[in-house]
Amino acid sequence: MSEAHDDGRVLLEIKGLTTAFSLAEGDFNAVDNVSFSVKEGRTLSLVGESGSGKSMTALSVMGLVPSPGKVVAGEVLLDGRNLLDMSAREMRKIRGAEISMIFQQPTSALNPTYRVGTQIREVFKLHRDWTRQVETEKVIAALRAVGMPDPEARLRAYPHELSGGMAQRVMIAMALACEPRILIADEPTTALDVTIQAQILELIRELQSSSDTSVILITHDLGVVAEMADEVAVMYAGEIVETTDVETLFDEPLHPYTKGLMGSVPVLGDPRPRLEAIPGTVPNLTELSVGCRFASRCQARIEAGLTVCQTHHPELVEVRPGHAVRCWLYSGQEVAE
Amino acid sequence: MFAGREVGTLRSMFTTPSALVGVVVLATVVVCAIFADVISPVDPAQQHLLYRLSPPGTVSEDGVTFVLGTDGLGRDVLSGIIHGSRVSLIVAVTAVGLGMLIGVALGLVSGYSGGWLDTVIMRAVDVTIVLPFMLMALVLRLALGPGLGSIVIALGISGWATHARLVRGEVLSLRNKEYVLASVANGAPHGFIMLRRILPHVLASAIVLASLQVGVTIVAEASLTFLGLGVPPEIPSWGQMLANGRDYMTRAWWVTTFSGLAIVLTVLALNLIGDWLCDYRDPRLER
Amino acid sequence: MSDVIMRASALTKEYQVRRGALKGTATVKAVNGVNLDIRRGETIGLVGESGCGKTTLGRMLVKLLEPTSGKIEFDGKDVTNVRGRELKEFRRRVQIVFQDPFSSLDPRARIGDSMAEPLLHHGVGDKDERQERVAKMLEMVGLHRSHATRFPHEFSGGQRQRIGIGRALILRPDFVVADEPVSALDVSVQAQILNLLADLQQELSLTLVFVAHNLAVVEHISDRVAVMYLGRIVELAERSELFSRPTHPYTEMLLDAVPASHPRNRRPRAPEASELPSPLDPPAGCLFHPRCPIFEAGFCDEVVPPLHPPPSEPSRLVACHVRIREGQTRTFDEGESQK
Repeated sequence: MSEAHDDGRVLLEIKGLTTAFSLAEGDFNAVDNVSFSVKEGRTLSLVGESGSGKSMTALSVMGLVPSPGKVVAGEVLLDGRNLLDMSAREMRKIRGAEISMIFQQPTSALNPTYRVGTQIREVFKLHRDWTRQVETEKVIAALRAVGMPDPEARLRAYPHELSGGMAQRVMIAMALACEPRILIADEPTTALDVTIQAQILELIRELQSSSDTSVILITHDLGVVAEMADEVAVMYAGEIVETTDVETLFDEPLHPYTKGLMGSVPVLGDPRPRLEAIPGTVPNLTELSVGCRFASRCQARIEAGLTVCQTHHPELVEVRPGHAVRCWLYSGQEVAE
Repeated sequence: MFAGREVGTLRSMFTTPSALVGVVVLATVVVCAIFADVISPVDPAQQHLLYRLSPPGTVSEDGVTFVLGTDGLGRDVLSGIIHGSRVSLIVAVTAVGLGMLIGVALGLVSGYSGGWLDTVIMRAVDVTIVLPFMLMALVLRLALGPGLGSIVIALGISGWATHARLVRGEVLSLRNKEYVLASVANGAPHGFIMLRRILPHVLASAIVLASLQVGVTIVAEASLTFLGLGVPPEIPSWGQMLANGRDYMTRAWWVTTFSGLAIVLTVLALNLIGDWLCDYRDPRLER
Repeated sequence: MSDVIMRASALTKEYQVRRGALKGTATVKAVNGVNLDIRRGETIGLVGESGCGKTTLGRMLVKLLEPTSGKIEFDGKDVTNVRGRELKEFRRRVQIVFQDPFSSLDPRARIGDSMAEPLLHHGVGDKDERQERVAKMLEMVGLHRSHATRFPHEFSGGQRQRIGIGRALILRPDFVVADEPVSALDVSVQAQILNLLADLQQELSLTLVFVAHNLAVVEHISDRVAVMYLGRIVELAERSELFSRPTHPYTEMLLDAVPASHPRNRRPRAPEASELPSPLDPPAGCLFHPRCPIFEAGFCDEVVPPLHPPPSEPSRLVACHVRIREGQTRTFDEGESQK
């Protein structure tokens, strides 16, 4: 397990990141004024459902936003340098070497026409200046490090010859080959069986602690968050609605969406007769009304008799030390501990 | 049973530039075909012997303007083209329609039932596709004798094979779609599933294929006519004009050129519409 | 003993698979000799990872797939080879809800027509009556009757799943297989659909076979749970029994792999790659033995363990030599002290 840095050094800081899309159906911000920071050696989890903007946030950080999307505002500061200001060439040097990303479907994220070893080698070719022999050794070492049995033989395999779990290990090997400081994992285990998921998560944990890599873990699975995260940012409809450390999030969630999410997930070993479902569906981002984006589905608002939720858009406010919420139930007052 | 809003916009046919061009050209051709007698300046068969091989724009003593010139027998080229559209469209559309009908039906049955029926039909498809189209058309035409009917059959009959293969392929993948399985689970008879759950999804591809085949068929009809095996000489046709004009292409370029242009533009229009059809159907509905 | 509504006996589904251009074909047993009694009114969860055969089994029970061998009895009658009118009667009483809300509805059909289809094929009512029943069912699944004229793409995933459920239930079947009905949905929507299924099951007195890979979801909704591995059932027990005291080593492995529910419950797990063997080349004897922590050579790798109740627990079934033997030892211990 990674050492607990209570006040770790901030490695990556994202401020006011906004990514806009212009489609036939309308314009919207897939990522809207998102700010968070990632500390050295720690794991931050971005939690949300579809349409929350969590994947697009990661792509924005990596400079991989697909058109017709564009980052229109904000800063992504890695060690003080703004990644958004960098040229394409500079970003290519960063990708794979300082920040790496792994994706949900490993078999489709790998190139089906190249052997696995060749693809890992490619990372070395781009960022290191080694001889072929050294590269091969490093590839084998990388595969071994991710627990691939018989790495010398496996490096000649094609992606489709590998199972989902093996393919994901290869992706991790590629991502960590040049020892990046940050690993972004976008739903890395969603497509995998639960036993394989456990292996991959543990692998990520071990690799992280041995090389002190920071991890941004994107997921919709609260179990994965509970297992892996140090800090959590909950996203809804393109915005961050709550951030805090993982224990506080599970012990005392503040935002009604977070509470609703936790209430609606069945917990193993604790069967309830009925789940507390959040009514309604995620709003269409092109048709957002003024006010809080969660208002239409929020029971707490009705119970508290608040009308401000529908007229004014709440800001993300730190209402307790280390715990920020975007909700009128808490804003404007420091909640006594 | 349930009436409601239309799905997809046919309107995009008019907003996409390429499709619009196609539609306009095709509409013009269709209008010519339907109203040929009215639009046409003169009777296309009428020979103005004093004005044989007159260049475009020549005006006769009787005040008749040969807008696109005359051919070797003094027949007005423009009138010939207008009337010729009938033959081209009717023959081509009917022939392709025949092929499509047979092909879609057989492809549907073949893909859905599988087994020996599928094998038999697909071998028939293989054989048909291997034989060169023009050769088949020629042979059939010679075997069936002269007449519009035999031309249609000769041109259309071999078109079934591509349709069958295309449709069968789509049926194979659609057969396992969950909404098809749902119909099976609901006790739907085979006919219902084929016609209501599968056919609508393959029809669009078939129509696209057909629209592309019409172009080829028009050219083929022109070729048959060129060889003297197509429509009889009294009936004006683009192929006929193309063939005739060949003899004096250096002296009177307008006969071949304008009839050839008519063919090219019509085929182009059909292809443009076919392209639009490709984009129009799926994404909206299969999202 | 409750009334058995569906019984599968030695149900097997084999597929011929090509092993590449020159290697010929091999047989894959997606479902391998499954015996299962399903009781009237219960919810039975079928759980397992990819390749375990749960979806294949579910579809065979609904007769969407022909078994290669074996027998299916529904309500006392052998329906394995039934056709024509009897098959149609079966289909009226046995239904299925599919996993993918995006492909389970015909995109070109209005949802009202899709939902009315079962009524249409079974000759229920005339056009107006069918329309009314569709309207009522739409309301029952939490939608509005005016939605009947809309097309599937106008609805969200959760709503489409509701429509799929409505379609499956419109004939008031007795038996429904739900094939991963919530796996493709967002977490917050899953809860809505699970609640809906539970409500409808109560209201319509359904027998429900719930196929899923998410153990927490299965625990939430099931009365009994069957765990499948590579085409066989390896454990079958009452819900609470299975989750509190798993017997089969694979069940234990599954439960152990489920992520923590709270950060303080984190545990280190083994990151070593322990993968599913290829179904083309299944292990001899017990299919799980290569990954099994209590594997005993010479026994587990030679003889296929039968699905047997451990003598101390007649309501549970386990396919494990070692556990059955321990069970016998345990009852033995009551009289004579052995170990």
